[in-house]
Amino acid sequence: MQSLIDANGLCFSYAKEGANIDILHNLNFSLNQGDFVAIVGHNGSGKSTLAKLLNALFIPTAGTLVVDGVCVQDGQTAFEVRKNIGMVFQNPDNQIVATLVDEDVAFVLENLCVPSEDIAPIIDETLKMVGMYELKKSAVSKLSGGQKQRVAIAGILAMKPKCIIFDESTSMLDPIGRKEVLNIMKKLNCEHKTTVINITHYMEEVVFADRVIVMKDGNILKEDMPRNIFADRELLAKANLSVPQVTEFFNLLCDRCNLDSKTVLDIDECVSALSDLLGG
Amino acid sequence: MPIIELKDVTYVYDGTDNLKSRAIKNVSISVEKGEYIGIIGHTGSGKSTLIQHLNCILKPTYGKVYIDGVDIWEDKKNLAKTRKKVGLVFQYPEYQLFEETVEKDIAFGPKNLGLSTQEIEKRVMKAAQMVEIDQDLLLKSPFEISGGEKRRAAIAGILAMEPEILVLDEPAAGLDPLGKEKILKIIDNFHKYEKRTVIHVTHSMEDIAKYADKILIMNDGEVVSYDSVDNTFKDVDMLQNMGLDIPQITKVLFKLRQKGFNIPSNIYTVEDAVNVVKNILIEKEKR
Amino acid sequence: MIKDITLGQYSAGNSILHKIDPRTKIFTTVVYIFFLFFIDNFFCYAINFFVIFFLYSRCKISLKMMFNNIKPILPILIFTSIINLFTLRDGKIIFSFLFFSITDRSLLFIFMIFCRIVLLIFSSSLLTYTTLPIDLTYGIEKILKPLSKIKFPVDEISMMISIAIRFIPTLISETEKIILAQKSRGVDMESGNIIKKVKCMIPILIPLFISAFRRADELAIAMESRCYRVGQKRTRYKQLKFCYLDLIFLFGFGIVVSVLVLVNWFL
Repeated sequence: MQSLIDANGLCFSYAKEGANIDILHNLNFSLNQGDFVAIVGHNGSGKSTLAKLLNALFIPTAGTLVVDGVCVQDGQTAFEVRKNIGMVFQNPDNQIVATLVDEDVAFVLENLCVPSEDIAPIIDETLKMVGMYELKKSAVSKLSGGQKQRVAIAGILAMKPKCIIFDESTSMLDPIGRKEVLNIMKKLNCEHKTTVINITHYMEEVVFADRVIVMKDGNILKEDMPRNIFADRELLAKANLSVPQVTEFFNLLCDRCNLDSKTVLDIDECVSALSDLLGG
Repeated sequence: MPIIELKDVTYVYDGTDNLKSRAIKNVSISVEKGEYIGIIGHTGSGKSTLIQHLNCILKPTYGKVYIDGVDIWEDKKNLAKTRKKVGLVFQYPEYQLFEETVEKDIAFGPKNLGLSTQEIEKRVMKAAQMVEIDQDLLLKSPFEISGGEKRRAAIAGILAMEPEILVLDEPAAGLDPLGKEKILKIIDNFHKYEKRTVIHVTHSMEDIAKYADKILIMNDGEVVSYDSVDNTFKDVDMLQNMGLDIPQITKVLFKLRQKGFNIPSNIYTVEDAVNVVKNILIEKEKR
Repeated sequence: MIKDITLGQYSAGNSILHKIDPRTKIFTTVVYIFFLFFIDNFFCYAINFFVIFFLYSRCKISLKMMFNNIKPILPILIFTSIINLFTLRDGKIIFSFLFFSITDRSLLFIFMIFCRIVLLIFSSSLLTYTTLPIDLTYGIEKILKPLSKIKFPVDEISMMISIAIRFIPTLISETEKIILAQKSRGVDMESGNIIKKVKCMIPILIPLFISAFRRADELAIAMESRCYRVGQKRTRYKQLKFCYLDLIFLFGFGIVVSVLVLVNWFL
């Protein structure tokens, strides 16, 4: 099967005051349709730049990036790429174009020249998918951060993309909003086989991904399953990353009590591991 | 005498006396000098409204606010004095930076206090040191430094005013883990070494469990609980019902307790949890 | 300040004026205002006021709301009227005192100007009371559409207006936040002379502008990411359709205008 995204020797740099500033160095990876991938790394590691390249908002300076059979190389191909890949940004306020919820969802359809009479049913369908149908006619300025972010997601789902990139989309939300957005990611990946790329700082979110790409200073340090990433403490220290609290706890416990090390990812795993230890 | 005292404070935001438009209802709390208070509640619970009462930004519709024993709305002259005593760091404070250099921006607050040039300079240096902003960064424009640095510069602008009480509204929101850790450390240091009172509003119990002396929980404009950290974490059920983000470790231990393991309820940091479980394991070995 | 610009002055309702196409309303309002400036008959003004009051009552807009928009210009209106009263010199003098004199013509003229301005505001407010700003924008876009043939960027301008409408509440709340933040940094905005007050604006305006530019930048990227291309053909979700109500309204409007023309020029 052909992969959805293929990066080969992908580089990106820009010129500033005469000097060339390298952001990404020689990245190689590929993603398949239906993957749920998390990209982690501290600020300045190049993850947001990578996201913008995947959406053809930036054009690679060297190497090739093929998205759904289209090579990202100029403005012409950019449009083709964006038809299949949507992006949800960090600040919910700065990505909603229209005043009313339904009109914002319509925006992408209008841009893709979908006939007017076909637009309304698509809006209803996508708003139902993100649980915002009841607020279809609301003014966007009246919504909470989480709700705005859901509208932004609907605005992308409307074009039925093969892949959605979430560029720190949960970082400005409160815990409730974050949970809502995360649930939508899971649902899309599970039920609609949409490829989800989640760029995040929250390690609790990383757990849900099938694969994690760890970045540092424009390089990919490692690409693996969350469990293996969280088990690799050397790597985490190198990339300046933390682990979920339960993972940290269990690691520390294993160290202190000289137990065989084991990586727990979430609360339930931790509870069952502990009950085995304490009860057995 | 408590440094902050709120007596039956109610705030109605649209002038009507509608029960619905009460952002906070009959809030009575007192804070002792030097305490670190964490305020928790989800969006719309009234926590931001509450803290804006502490430095004369909002005037209570009913009730009284006392800072250092003085009713802050008794006399108009109190306003400047109160703002000098209470430093308020808003959400995303980096959006209020405006001067040409970071140094000038940090100096803006002290300058408004009417201090001497030497005193201002001294305070700017001290504040910059507290938030770990280097000398060369001070001369840069606040718009060309990184997000985390901006946030710290903005906080330094308030610290330089040397407030008796430091109030922060989600100071770590939107930062990466490293940036967040730094901010939490700065606040803790200010509390510990400068012996100042700190009020820290946040969504994350995990963030303040380590630092706070007491936790105030707000829900729907009312104070649900105002107690020591130990006692607050005893009622995990209530916390969960309010949709609060409680630390994973608390949830784990709560579930274990439900399964019948004998684990104390006041554990909320990784360190304590490891020690508790370790002790149980050692006990088990002995048997 | 209009806090909620998404609704503007819109007052929800179910009247014919709420239901008809914005294009009809824009067209009739413009034509009506045009006519207003040719009318110089007392009886005509009476008819005008009657029609306007009738429409306001049908739309269930209170008298208080109706006069709200008059209030801000009332001082200017009164001031210019007084100036005119004493400076216009043609016609019979009906009252004089020292250097001042009032003529019958000037009195009549002032009365007419006064009525015209008031009617102008009443009628244009009626448009904004019954039409959402976004519908208004769309109506204007449709009306100006033929201009795109001569390379006038109608779509882009309409997009700009609707983005402006979308961002005004955001920027207002941002301004409020910045004001509070600077206040707690010791900016004293209440006291001091003009120069001091102007100086206080700097710490507010600079962050506001920077934030607005940052938002614009992010929004542009988000729009591009959502397949927006400047100057490319787009379809529209919102369709404006004339219905029989528009016809009825236009018919009624035609009658009113004909009556006005008859009364004003032939009676």
